[in-house]
Amino acid sequence: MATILAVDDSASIRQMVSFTLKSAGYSVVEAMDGVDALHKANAQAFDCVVTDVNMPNKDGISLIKDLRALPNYRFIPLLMLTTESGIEKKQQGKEAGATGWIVKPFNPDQLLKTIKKVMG
Amino acid sequence: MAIDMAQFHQVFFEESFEGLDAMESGLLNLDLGAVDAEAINTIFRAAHSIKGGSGTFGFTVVSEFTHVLETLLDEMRDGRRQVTQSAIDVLLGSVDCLRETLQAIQAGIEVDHHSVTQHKLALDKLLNDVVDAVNETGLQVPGECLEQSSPQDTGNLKIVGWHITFSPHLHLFKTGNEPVRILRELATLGDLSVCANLLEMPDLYELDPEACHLAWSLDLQGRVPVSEIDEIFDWVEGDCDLSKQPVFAITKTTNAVSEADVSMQKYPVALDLLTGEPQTQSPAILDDSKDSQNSTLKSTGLTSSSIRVDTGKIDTLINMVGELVITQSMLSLIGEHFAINKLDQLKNGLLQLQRHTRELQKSVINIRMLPINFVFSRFPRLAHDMSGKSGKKIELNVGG
Repeated sequence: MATILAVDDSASIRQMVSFTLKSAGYSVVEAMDGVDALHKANAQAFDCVVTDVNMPNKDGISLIKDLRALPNYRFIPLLMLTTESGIEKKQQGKEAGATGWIVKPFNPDQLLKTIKKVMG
Repeated sequence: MAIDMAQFHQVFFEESFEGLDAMESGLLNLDLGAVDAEAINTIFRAAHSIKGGSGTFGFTVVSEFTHVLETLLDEMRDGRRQVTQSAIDVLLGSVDCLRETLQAIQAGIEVDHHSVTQHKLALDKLLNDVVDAVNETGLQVPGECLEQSSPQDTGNLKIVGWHITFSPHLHLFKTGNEPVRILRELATLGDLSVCANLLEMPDLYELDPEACHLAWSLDLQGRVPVSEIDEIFDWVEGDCDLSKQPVFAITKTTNAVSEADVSMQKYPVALDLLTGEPQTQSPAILDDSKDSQNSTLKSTGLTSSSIRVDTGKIDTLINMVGELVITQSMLSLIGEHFAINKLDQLKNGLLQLQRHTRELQKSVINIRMLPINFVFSRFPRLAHDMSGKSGKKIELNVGG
């Protein structure tokens, strides 16, 4: 089954995302910010990355840009967790190489629907 | 899928209270003369996390309140709003209100909605003071988007389908998007016929396998709102050329003059929605019925508490327990085959056991200890509030 990297500085959101995806049969690795995520992405190949935008140390958009520069992540789905009003952030994310976004707040069903959309 | 979200609530409350402490500390330490952008960003992130978490877990009153707070902080960090003492005071009041609200929710008691409303009004007043000023100068308020009309049934014409041309740009794959996924999604909306356009396909020797050379002509049958089609292509907007033409059908007419049979004809209307098309609104993915989620918890009668512990201390504890287990195994072996000549080994083993036990005890006490900052962390806020009430400047010195 596919392995997903879930990145969010909020422990409760990370846990919810992780629990939801694992319940659906995905394997999940958590990271607490962009630096942690980049370190893990270099150590292991993920099939999808879901990242919050506003995080300390390295934000989600910077993370997406760095991931796209890695050979293993040139075509991998990279999804942003963003608020509905963050149209600017969506645009910045796209310019950085984001595949799409999951709108906050979201429930487990919406999360799974979006992940299944990209993972097939 | 039914997932019990309540299992994440405790973590959410803990991180929210920490976030509120960080916001309060950040606000108290803001230097009005030289505002630190990173400091405001930190405060903003804390509010943003609380908003995101509360929305996700159904605490609507908190998410709505924090949304306004976040908007104000966003303007401050972008430099669109000056950081003033009055703004800080309002924000500090809001932090208190949020803290009380979260405590009430956590304890399962009624939220003080009056207090929430009052603080929200204060925040709105601050926000609107700037919006009014902007409107007076004739500038467009950020966030406004134009109302625009979607193709609709008109008169006797009814939309019965869509003719879509989808031409991804060459770099589409590099965004992680996959045309097949998009087509698969479209097919869930109705009967879809797909015709690939190979005109731009280069010769094999010139083919770039990492580029998207294909385009598609699609016919989707069904009374599908354009918003649902837009939602599917939302992620690739700007990375493709897309046109959507509604397919109309003439409905039956009740015109008394025409008593002849009415035949249903389909007219692909020559209406290119892409040319001069106003920006489409992003469809709302959120379900408004989220408000029905209960924002109060049933009181369990239990008060849970937790502390944050550095992972280094946990690692040290784990190592020590490991050492203890090894020492215990060694002593067991000595005990099983004890002979008088093993007395020295036994003594050494017991000394090791004593040492490991003492270190373990020290380590556990160290974990339970909290930084002394916890005791004095309320004083700056107390001093700030007293200063505000008395109209006097207060200098607080904490030493030791």
